[in-house]
Amino acid sequence: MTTGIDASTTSPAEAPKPSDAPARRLRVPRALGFRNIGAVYVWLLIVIVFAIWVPSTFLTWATVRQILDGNAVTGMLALSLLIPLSARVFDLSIGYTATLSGVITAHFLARGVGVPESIAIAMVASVLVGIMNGTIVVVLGVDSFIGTLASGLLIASFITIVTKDIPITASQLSGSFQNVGQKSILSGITLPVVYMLAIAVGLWAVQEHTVTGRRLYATGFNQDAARLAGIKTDRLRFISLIVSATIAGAAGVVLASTISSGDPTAGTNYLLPAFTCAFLGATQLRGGRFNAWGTLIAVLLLGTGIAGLGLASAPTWAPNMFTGLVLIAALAITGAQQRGLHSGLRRRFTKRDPALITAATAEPPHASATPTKEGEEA
Amino acid sequence: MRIPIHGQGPPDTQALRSPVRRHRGLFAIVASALAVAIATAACGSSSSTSSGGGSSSSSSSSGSASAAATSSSSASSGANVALAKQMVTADETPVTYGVTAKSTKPIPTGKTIAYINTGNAGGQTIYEAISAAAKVLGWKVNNIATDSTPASVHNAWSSAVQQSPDAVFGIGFNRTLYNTQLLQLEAKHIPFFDYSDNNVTGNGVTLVLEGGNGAAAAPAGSQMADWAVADTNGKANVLYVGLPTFVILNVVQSAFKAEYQKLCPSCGFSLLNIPITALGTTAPSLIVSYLRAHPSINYVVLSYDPISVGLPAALKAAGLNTKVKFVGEAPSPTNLGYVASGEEAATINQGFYELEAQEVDAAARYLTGQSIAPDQSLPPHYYWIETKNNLQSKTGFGPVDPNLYTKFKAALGVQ
Repeated sequence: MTTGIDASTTSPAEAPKPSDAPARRLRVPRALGFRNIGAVYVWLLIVIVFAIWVPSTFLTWATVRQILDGNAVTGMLALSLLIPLSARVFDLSIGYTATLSGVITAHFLARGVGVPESIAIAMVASVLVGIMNGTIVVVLGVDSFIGTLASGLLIASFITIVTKDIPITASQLSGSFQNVGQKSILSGITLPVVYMLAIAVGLWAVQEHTVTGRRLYATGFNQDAARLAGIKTDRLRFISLIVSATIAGAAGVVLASTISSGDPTAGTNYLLPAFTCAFLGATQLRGGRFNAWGTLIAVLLLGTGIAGLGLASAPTWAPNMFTGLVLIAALAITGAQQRGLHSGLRRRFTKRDPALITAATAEPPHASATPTKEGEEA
Repeated sequence: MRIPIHGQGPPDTQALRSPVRRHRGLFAIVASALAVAIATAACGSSSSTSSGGGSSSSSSSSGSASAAATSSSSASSGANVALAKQMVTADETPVTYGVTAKSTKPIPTGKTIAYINTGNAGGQTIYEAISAAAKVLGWKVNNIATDSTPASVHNAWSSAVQQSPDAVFGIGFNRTLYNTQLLQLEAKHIPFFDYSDNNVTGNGVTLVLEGGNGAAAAPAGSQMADWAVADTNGKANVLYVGLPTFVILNVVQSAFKAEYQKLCPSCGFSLLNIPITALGTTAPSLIVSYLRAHPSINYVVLSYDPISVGLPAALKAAGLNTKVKFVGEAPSPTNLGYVASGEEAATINQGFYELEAQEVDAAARYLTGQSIAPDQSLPPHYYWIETKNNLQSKTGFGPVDPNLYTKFKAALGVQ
């Protein structure tokens, strides 16, 4: 657990000193601070409200299952964004990629190709999309925001060519293929929840426990500095887009299985929720860094609210209002704490080394959940 | 830049204090905001529960209690199940092509139709249907694509004016988006044939099918009522899922309630309106939540069938798939797949190919100076109930009347 100004880089020479004991004691309160897990407090508040409001239906295992099952695809797509966002690359094509993989899977299933083969073809197509994105963004040097938006439109046109904008259905989509996205395991939890957790564990391991993960963050923090330090930033950014396309493709296959159809618009509806969760998740646990568990907290926080409002028979406008308010609340809590920390640091360092003030209070130049202009590479 | 701060300086006693204490002001603000939002949501609940098909609909913020009350009344007798089943039998008759009046003049080949496409599955289906009929006459269809945004619709209509086709076909856009171009077309004596929006004939509109106030869509609502009452043997307790964005669906909802009340005055009725943004994402979760909060509901009626995309999986995951059935109208191919697999009890389908053949017939007659009176009504049985047993196609739309183009050619005197 860290603060926003990461303690993990403390050098061995500086490390164990008698004065570290109180610092260690600080970790638990800091870990539980609003700045670190503000969304969790908001989540708990929401749970309490719904537990009081609709106690007979909200506080049940069925609700837990509904929240998990109903948000697994959103979670997978939100997770697909983490690697590129960590490297400060936007992938706006994930929704189209998910749609493409679902449509391709349905297309081949409808023509009698086996389930594994159809999924494999869809995943290959997704990897190719990642390579295309990498080429556009890294090789051709197109801004990722625009480049992936453009590639998304190319994918959309390809989807239209394949489907003529009409969903693909066939009896094969209702057979064993449904198990991919609808099979229940463990007290009714469906497989997509397992996929989501597996992806989260994988991303967490890469981001937190590998050199590649640290290099990704470094690339996102300051690409020029990272490159001068010997990190192959272009390669990392290229790979990050392949990773996002691959995970998005997997989510698309799961979505096609869930709806038993190759719907030419299915995945695009998830783009905004996925980005919302990724950015909200970045404010949790890792102080401004995009991270897997923070993203899952965000997914479940928003999913809990939607499910609770449904149980409470809330009106049509309530889900959107809820999502907007929760985002503002969670980010406000985090932002307020961040500002409080910076003020505290400023006061503390003023008495020591004024030169540290600027460095200590400087925002990490990227990868922060606080929106920045992408062109402003530090 | 990362700065190591652990081990530097004295312990931050502020940090040792409870997070709630340290930020109680902020916490209070956030808690208040959420509480106000949720309280407002509670006060403004859009769902309503009643019996008798909604004649005495009342606002309900606590759905569980209302549902319980509904449950008791729905089980009572008084439903005219026999009539409902009789209606369903009649409603299951699929669409036929109904234009039989013979053309008095030869129909020329080589005409061009400009079609303003909505850019979604429905618009594409209509395009295919128009093209199929036009091909029979040796006509060409220019597909002018939009993405349904006002700007793209406006531009598409400008393109149609520039193309100066022999006729323009459209679907479902508000006239305010293209009024200027429509009047330009009228000045050029180019007819406009419309389908499924609020237009009325005249002032540039040559023919509109299923237009005006949407009254022509009423059979879809009444057929869903027939089906729900018949399929439950008069013990229906319905959740009607509305989509307020589409105004024309109000007609469907009103027709459903009227027929439902007539057939089963004591059956339960609840209304859940969902936002258009929920389509394809949170709609299944919202419906399942409502069903869990109102366990006595045994039927979901969808004002627009594509709302149900993902619903079978959500019902299954919630363990409700064996208890709750659903029916909808205006299916997408995905819904046809659900009906084929038995996941959706029934759908109210529409005869797009028969309808568009009729519109092309109208264009042919108009362009040869004939009356289009034979084309004014929807094709017979334009709406019909499709179940697993009488499903025309599991994968998409096409001509339903096996003699569609034979009749079409016969009426127009085309070989």
